[in-house]
Amino acid sequence: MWVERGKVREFNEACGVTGPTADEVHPMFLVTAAFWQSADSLPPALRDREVVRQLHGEQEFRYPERLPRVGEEFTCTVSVEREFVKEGKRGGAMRLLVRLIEFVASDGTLVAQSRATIIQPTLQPGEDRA
Amino acid sequence: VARRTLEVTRNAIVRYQGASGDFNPVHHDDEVARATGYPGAFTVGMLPAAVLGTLVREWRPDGHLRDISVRFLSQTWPGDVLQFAATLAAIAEEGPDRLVTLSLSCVRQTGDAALSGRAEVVFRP
Repeated sequence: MWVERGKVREFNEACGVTGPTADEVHPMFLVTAAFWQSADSLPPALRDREVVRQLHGEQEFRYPERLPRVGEEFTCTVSVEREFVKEGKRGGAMRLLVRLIEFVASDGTLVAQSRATIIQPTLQPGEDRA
Repeated sequence: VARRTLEVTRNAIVRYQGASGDFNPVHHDDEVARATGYPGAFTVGMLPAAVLGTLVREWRPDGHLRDISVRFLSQTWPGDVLQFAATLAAIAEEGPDRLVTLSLSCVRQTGDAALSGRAEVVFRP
């Protein structure tokens, strides 16, 4: 993905950025990797899910050395780091998975990791996806 | 160390969805939301999460935001007034650097916690 200046500004405006960081890359900007991804670039566990019934449980962004910079290009790798089942508070099992996206700059530096915990629809009777 | 308020509007939700590329219709289409079992369209959780990101960045742009994580605790809705806060959780030395850990929260006008989170900001000499 390319980190485009106009997209950075659009994202900042949507996130209420008003100060001196208006032209810098927002710490949540890499969610826009969604625009650069196609179904066949995803691992099977992340395809064909019912998006409207999914819930986002947690989200983390880690930047070991620096935030992304306007104008740079990343090679992104999407994987399922973890998949597990948890008992829901209201009974029934919840299916969770942790989607990891790694953002590597053109010089090979790992600039960012995005981890999303995604809660899938409740398991139907007799269904076992494990 | 920092606070902020946001009134959730449909406009803000749609604007964030367009900017982010998350076009899940349950956040802007009441019919789809109701068919999915919700009373109506609700806020895309990453909008308040991103506002927490803004809060931390604008607090000290000279620090390096090394890690930010949020947990979505309950949904928020158009018309909600959300209060965001970042509070000091810990300060530690990491070699020559100073690591400041912040606790993050987003609370609805009802008092319900909508998001919690934490951020690590590194200050280099």
